[in-house]
Amino acid sequence: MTERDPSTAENAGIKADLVSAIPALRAFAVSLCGNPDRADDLVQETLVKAWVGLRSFEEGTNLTAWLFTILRNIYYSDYRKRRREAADPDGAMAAKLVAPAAQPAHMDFLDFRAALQKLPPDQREALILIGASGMSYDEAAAICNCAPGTMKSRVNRARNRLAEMLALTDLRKATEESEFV
Amino acid sequence: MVRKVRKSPLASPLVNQSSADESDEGSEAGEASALASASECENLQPTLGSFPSSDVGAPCRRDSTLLAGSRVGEHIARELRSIYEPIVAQPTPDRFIELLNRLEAGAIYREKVRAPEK
Repeated sequence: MTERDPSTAENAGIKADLVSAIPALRAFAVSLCGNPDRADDLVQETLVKAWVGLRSFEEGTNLTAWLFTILRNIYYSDYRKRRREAADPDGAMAAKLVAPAAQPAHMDFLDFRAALQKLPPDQREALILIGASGMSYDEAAAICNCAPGTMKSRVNRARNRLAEMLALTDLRKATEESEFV
Repeated sequence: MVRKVRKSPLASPLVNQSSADESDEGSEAGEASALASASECENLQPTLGSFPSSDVGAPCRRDSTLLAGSRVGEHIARELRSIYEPIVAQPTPDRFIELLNRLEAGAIYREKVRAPEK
C-alpha cells in the first residue's frame, strides 16, 4: 500500500469536519463525566488523538461516531479512575450538567436529571447516544462495543427504569401533554 | 450465550474498544436484517458532526423507536434533548479552534494517508 502526506486541502477539510463535531462531542463528554472542565479536556484529547490517527478512520462512515468512540475510550481508561479518586464517588457532580438552565428548573426537570444519574452507566450511555446524540443502534453499538440488540435492550431498560423512577406524576404529565400534540 | 464479534463500521486499530458492560445481553438475531438496512441508508448520507434535531434528517437516522413509540418514550426523549441541546448550542470555545489550527499547521503531524492502489 502506497502512502503520501495529507494535502493542505485534505487537512483543511478534516479540520472543518472536526470543528463541526465539537458541539456534539462536548455534550457527549459532559454526559460521561458530568464536569464541564473535564469534559472539555476530554474533547481536547480526543481531537488530538483523532488527528494523529485519522488514517484509521474509514472514509464514508460516521466521523462523529468515530470521535465518540475515541472519546469514550479515553474516558473509561483514564477518567473513571480519577473520578473514583475524586470526592464525588456517587456522581453527585455529574447530576449538575454544564448548561445553565434556560428557564428556572422545575421539579420535573430536576427529577429527570437525578433519575438519569441513577441509571446504570451502560443504560444511561445507551439512552444518551440514541435519545440525545442521534446515533443509530448500529453506531451506538459500535461506539460501546456491543451488539445492536444489546443496545436496544439497554435503551428499553433505561426507558422503563426512568419511567419507574419518575413515577406516575410524570407519566400523567406526559399523557396530558400528548393530548395537545 | 456466545457473543459474536461484529465487524464494526467504525473498525480501526486506533480504536481499542473498552467497555462499560454491566448488564450485557446477547444480541437478538431478528434485529440483524432490519439494522443492516438502516445502516445502508445511513451510509448514503454520512453526516459529519451534525447534531440531528427532531425536524431534520433522513428517517432512518433516528432509529429510536423504543423512545419515540410511546408517550413515556417521547417524554424521556424530550427531557434528554432539553438537557443536551443547550450544550450543543454553545459557541465552540476558542481553545478548540486554536488547537485545530495548530494541528492543521503541523504542530502535531498527521500520519500519512493511504494512497489508492495503481
